[in-house]
Formats: sequence, C-alpha cells, structure tokens
Amino acid sequence: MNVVEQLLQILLSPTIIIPLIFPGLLTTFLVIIFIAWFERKLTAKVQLRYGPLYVLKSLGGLPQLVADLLKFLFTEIIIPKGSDKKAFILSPIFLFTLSMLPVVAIPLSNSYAAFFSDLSLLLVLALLTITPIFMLLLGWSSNNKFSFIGSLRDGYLMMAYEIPMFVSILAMAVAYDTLDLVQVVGRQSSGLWGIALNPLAAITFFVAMLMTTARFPFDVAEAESELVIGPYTEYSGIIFVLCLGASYAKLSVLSLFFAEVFLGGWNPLIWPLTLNPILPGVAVFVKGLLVMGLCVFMRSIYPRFRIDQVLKLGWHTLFVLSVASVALSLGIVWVLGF
Amino acid sequence: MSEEQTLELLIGPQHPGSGHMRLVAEMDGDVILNFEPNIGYVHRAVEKIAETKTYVQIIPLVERTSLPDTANHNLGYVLALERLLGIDAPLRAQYLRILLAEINRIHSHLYGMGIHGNMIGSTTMLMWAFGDREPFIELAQRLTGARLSYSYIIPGGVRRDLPQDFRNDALKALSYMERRLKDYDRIFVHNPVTLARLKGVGVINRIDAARIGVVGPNLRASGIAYDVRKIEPYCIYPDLDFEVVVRDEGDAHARLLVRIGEIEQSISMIRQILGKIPDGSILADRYLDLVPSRTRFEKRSSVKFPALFSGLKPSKGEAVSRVEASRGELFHYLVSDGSTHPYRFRIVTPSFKNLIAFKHALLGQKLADIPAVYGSLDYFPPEADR
Amino acid sequence: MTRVLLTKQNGLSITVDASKILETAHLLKNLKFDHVISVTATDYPEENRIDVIYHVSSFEDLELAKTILEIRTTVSRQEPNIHTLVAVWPSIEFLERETTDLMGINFGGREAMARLLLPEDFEGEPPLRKSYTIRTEGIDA
Repeated sequence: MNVVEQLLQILLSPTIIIPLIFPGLLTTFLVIIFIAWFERKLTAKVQLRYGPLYVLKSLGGLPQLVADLLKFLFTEIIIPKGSDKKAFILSPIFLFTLSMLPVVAIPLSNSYAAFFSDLSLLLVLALLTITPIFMLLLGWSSNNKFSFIGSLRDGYLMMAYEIPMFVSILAMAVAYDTLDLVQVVGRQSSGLWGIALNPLAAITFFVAMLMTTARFPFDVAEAESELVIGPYTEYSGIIFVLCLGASYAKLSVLSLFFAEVFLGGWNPLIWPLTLNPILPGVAVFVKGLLVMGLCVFMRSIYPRFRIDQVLKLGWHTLFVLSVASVALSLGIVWVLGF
Repeated sequence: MSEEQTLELLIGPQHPGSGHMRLVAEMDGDVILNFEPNIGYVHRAVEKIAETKTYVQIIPLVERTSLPDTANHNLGYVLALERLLGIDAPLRAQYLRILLAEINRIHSHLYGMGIHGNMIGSTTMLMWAFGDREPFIELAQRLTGARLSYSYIIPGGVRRDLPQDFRNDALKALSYMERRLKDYDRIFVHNPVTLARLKGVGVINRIDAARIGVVGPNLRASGIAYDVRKIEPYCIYPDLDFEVVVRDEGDAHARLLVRIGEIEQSISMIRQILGKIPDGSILADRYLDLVPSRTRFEKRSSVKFPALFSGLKPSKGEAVSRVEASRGELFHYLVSDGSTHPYRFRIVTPSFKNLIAFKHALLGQKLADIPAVYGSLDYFPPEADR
Repeated sequence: MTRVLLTKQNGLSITVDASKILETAHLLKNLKFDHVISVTATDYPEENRIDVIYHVSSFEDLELAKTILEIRTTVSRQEPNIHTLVAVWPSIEFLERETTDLMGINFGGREAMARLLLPEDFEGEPPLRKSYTIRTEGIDA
C-alpha cells in the first residue's frame, strides 16, 4: 500500500505531470491534433474546399490526424541502404524530444512549472536552438541530395532567425528587467502587455517564429516543388510523423512562449484564480492557440520565399528591427523608469 | 570550376515538382550552371499512330496530346484536314469553334496558373484556379457533351449546335471570372512574396526569345507581338476585336501577367461571339446532303458522325495549319497519299517549342527558381512528348 | 536551289539539295527568317528516299511572319546524313534531336546527343519509318 501511494505521489508530482501530461506530451499532442486540423480546415475554407471531413463527421473531421497517425504506425519504416542507420533513426527522436523539451521551463502559473529558473526566458530559446543540429544530422544521414539540401537550408534559416529572435527577447528582458518568465508575466499584470509595450519586438519574434517552425512563407527547407519534402525525403512510417510533429511541437512551445512574453500569460486572471494551475494554464493555451492559428493561416495567403530572400530578410530587416526593438525598450525603461 | 565543386541534381521523373520529365541541373551551391531537360517519359508516338488511323479517328487522338487544351488541338488538325479536303465550315460553325477554343483557352490558362501557384507554394492559387476552371468546363460540357476531350470540331463544321440557355450561363460565368481575376490579383499576382519570387527571374529577352523560338504567351511576354490569331487569322478571328497582350520584361512574372491578360481578352471575345453569332447550319452543305436523315439532324441540331466520315479520302497533297493554342503556336502538317489514312502526320506542339526555354531561362538562376520558371512557362509534358 | 513553288496557303516552298542546306539556311536567316517551326522527315521506302522538310518563319518581322517557308530536301534511306542547322537556328535543337530519334536522320556537325523521346537503350528501326513494324498488344496480338 505504501509503495503504491509513494508511486502515485511520484507520478502525480509536477516533475512528471508537467512534461508528460500538462502542458507536456499529452497536451501538446492534443494541441497538435487540433492545430493540424484547424490549419487544414482553415486553408480549406479559404480555398473553397471541405478539408478533413469523414473522420467523425459530427466533429468536422477533427480526429483526422489520429487516423493518419494510426495509418503511419502501420506503415513500414524503410531505411535506405546508403544511410547512416543509427543517425537516421535516432535524429528524428531527438529532434522531436528537443522540440518538446522547452515546455518544462514554461510556467503556467506562479507556482506551476517543472523547472523553475530565473533564466527561463533564455532557457526556452536555448533548448530550441539545439534542434537544427539534429535537422542537419537527419539530412546528412539520409544520404539523399534533396534531404541534404533541405537540411542545409534549415541550417541557413537558423542563421537568419536565431539572432533576431534572441535580440528581440533581449529587448523584452530589458523592458521587464528580468529573465524569469514568472516575473515576466507578473510585470504584465498592469494590463500593459508586451505586444503593446514593444510591438517591434513582438513583430520580430513572430516572424522569427514563423521561420523557426517552417511556416509559410518561410517553408524553404521543405519546399515540396523543389526538394520533395526537404530533410525528411527518405523517411516513412512513424519516424516521419516524428519529423513532422517536431515542427508542430516547436510551434506549440513557441506560441506558449509568445503568449507569456507578449500576450500577458495568464493575465488578467488574478490571485485566487491562479492558485490552481488549470485555469491560468487554459488561459495561456487559449492565447497560444490564437498565435498558432495566425501562424498556420499564413499558408493560405503566402507563397514561399527563396532561401536567399529569407536570409536577406533575416539579416537586413529582422535584425535591424530587433536592434531597434532593444533601443525602444531602453527608451521605455528610461522614460517610464521601470 | 572543378568537378567536385558541382552537384548534379536529378529532378524527376519521380518528383513532386518535375512533371513527367527529368530535369538535370548542374549546381554550384545554389546556382544553376547547366540545365538539361530530359523528356520522352510520356511519348505516345501520336504521329505514328495517326498513320494507322482514318482521318476522323485522328480527331480524338490529337486531343490526347494535350488534355487541358483539346479544343485548339482539335481545331488545328481539322483546319489542316479541311485544307486537304478543300472544304470550309459554315459561318455559324466557325463561330462555335472559336467559342469553344476561347473557353478552352481560359480554362487552360487557369490550369497553368494554378500549377504555377502551387509550384511556388501558393496552394490557394492552385485550388482557386482549379475550382474556377469548373464553370468553363461546365460550359464546354453543355456545348459539346464532354468535359475535356470534346472532339467537337469535325471536318466541315461542328458536332452540336449552341444549347438553348447557353448564352445566359456563359455570360454569368464570364462576369464571375472577371470578379475572380481581381481576387487572384490580390492573393497571388501582386502578393509581395510572388513578386519577390517571379520578378526578374527566368528572363528571356526579346532577341533570345526569337532566336530560341519560344511560342505563345512566353514569346509575347518577351515583347514580340506574335499571335497567330492576328498574323494568320483563321476562322472568325478577323471579325473579333481583341488585343495581343504583350509585355517587355520577359521574366516569369511577365509571363503570368500575359496569361491573365489573355484570359481577359478571351472573356471579351466570348462576349462578342455570343453577341453576333449568326444563324445557319453547323455543317458544310457538302456533308449535310450526305447525312442520311437530314430532317432528324435539323431537329436535334447535332451531328451524329455520318458513316461517310469513316471513308474520308482527301486528294493527294499536303496541308499545313497553324493555330494559336493556349500554350502557343501549334503546327500541323498533313501529307495525304489519297488513301483513308494520312501518309505522314506531323504535330509540333507549343510545349515542345517552349522546352528550349528551360535551357536558356534557368542558367545562373537559383535552385528554387526551377519551379518558379517551370510554372511560368506553362510547360505541359504530355503535350511536348506527344 | 533547285525549285521554288508557291504553295496553296500563301506559303512558299523551295527545294534544295541536301548538301546546300547550310548555305540556304544562312541565306534565309539573313532574310529575317529567324526561327524554325518544324522539322519533318517523311519516309518513302519505294523510292528509297527520306524527305526532310523544314518550316521556317519569322518573329522579328511580323509581315514576314505571315509566311511559312518550306524548305524541302531529300536524303537517301541508307545514308540519311544532313548538316545540322543548330548553329543557324538554335530553335531547331530539339526538333533535330526528335527527328534523329524517330526517323534516324543523322544531323552532322553537332555533338552527339542522348536520345530525346525514345528510351536511352532503344535499338533498331527508327519508329517513324514505314518499315518499322508496329507490335500490337492485347486482343490484336
């Protein structure tokens, strides 16, 4: 009895629940199912189609992705002869895990996070910067020219988004005078959210976020008409799903992050309501889903840039914007004296 | 440039962006040094098959070369055949032919634009264009009974007369299309990303365009006002008021704009045709007299292929015809030895003439420009391979 | 030039000896015939000849464009050799390659090219010649 109780205690402890259930794996999985459905449904609406429909017609085909997943589970995983087998199988797993991992550092209320750190603002981004390495490994190990070019493009993309992304977050850190996400949200309780405080940083971060998660118009690494599906060309079955899931997981994590830094996190919920993590968590997720919805909506508006144009945009426009956002933050701090 | 520094990229034939062909690109980093299209994957030897078929059996055969553009291919062949036979279609039939040809041009251009959009990542353009082909395919179906392979134009006339309520529906479809063109303009044609992708990409200048002999909208986008409908007008084109859409830039975006301009011109032409189509017979008198049940024909206003067509024997000789198909000048050359089969039948399709543009327009461009230029050329592999 | 004919549809047909084709092409190019519409080879096995017919026209001169000029020449079936015109008219490139594939005409003076329309490993009679036997499949076989 004692053992069971102890086991339950361990299982229900935040360090387990957060990465695995809320806001971790399970919730992210549900969010991915929803957002992938929403993306397809929204695009279909714009494009005068139905989109997913037949899997549970009453829900408008919502579980379509579950059906697809089941199908992929039973698809044979083909490992090409010339590939580096270990890297080929392991890199999607690492890619997905690392894309998910930053979720542990994102607090969902004042007291609900798997990993409290006074550097959590940086930690989330720092964990995400590891993923391009596995993307490169993925393309290299496939031993396919399209995979290789695709992963190289992903590497180049990283050069374009990484610095503006960090600098724009630096701007917010300056404005809030903290690197702790809990405090970042706390600072926004006045009602002046980050997006209003420093819109430049918000725009920069949003565009960099589109690049990170390979949303349109920055879909250059997976550009179907040029590179088949870029780094994942040789993948099949469930490891292919992991590859695709990684970009959605990243999107989900970054959207939550965006919601906390720029959209006030669990504000305007106040003290007694924030005690239980469910309600503030839902608030953050709703905001995050809105951001995700906006990201996936880009697909129906924009075609795809060319890689050199993305790099140019990254360095000529985004970088300048991000530096300007730091200046803006400094100005704000100077004027308002935060 | 040493061997190791370049990468040979084989795009296709199993590739989402290649179509039924293989594109061999020699890359230095992201820059194309050499580009060679390798076609023939959908070669069906139409010219050889034609030698074994009777003249009237070749009508559906030539349509198979280019399914998005069947009416113009049909028309080109029939014009050559009529020249061999020495007959002319009555005026009403000529109007109906051009009506179908222009309806076909609109939905063929939409097809090309949709594919072009998809190739640079705008799935919305793909879906919209393919969706908006539908009214025109429906119109053509009303007129001919078939959605794509019409076989509508026959020696001496056309198969069916204009249906009763066709005119109103056609006008509705035309004004719908005009509205949609404005939507296209906002979402795709002048989308900042589209402009970035297409402006100044895949430039064929005026001199090169004439030298390498590209045809159709691709030629006109390079500043040459060559349009068979004006140069050697056939059927009723002399009576129609239309402009040859020309642009001077010669880049991928100019080619897109020329196609859109041509859709507008076709809309205006269809309006004119519907306005002034004369009454009369739809089959030349020479054949009408031979149709066994003339009264039935007049009641149903459609031609059931008369048996006499199966034994069609043009006199010995040769005939050429050229028409402006959707993708450019389509050339037919027919040699008859006086039997029921052609002795030699030659088609030079616009896509086959445009193939050479790949070699010239893509040199020095980036890898990502391959689909952008490919789409802008509106190249249709089965049409090139025949 | 051995013969000049006016064809029915305001076209012009000239017949030249196969050895003179290059000169003729140069001459016509200077007359602003700047592109080739078609290269057709027609096989006449009884007379042991293959007619090679070029249709050329102009894009630069839109008045001239109204004419399709036909250049006819003849080669023998055994030695179907003729000089390439790719240097005069670059637009002829794929048309010549196609004719080589399907009719077995050798266009001398240009580098050997891989097959265009036929499979790389195709061997035997060029398919458009009259002596090519069509293998049928299915119920006709």
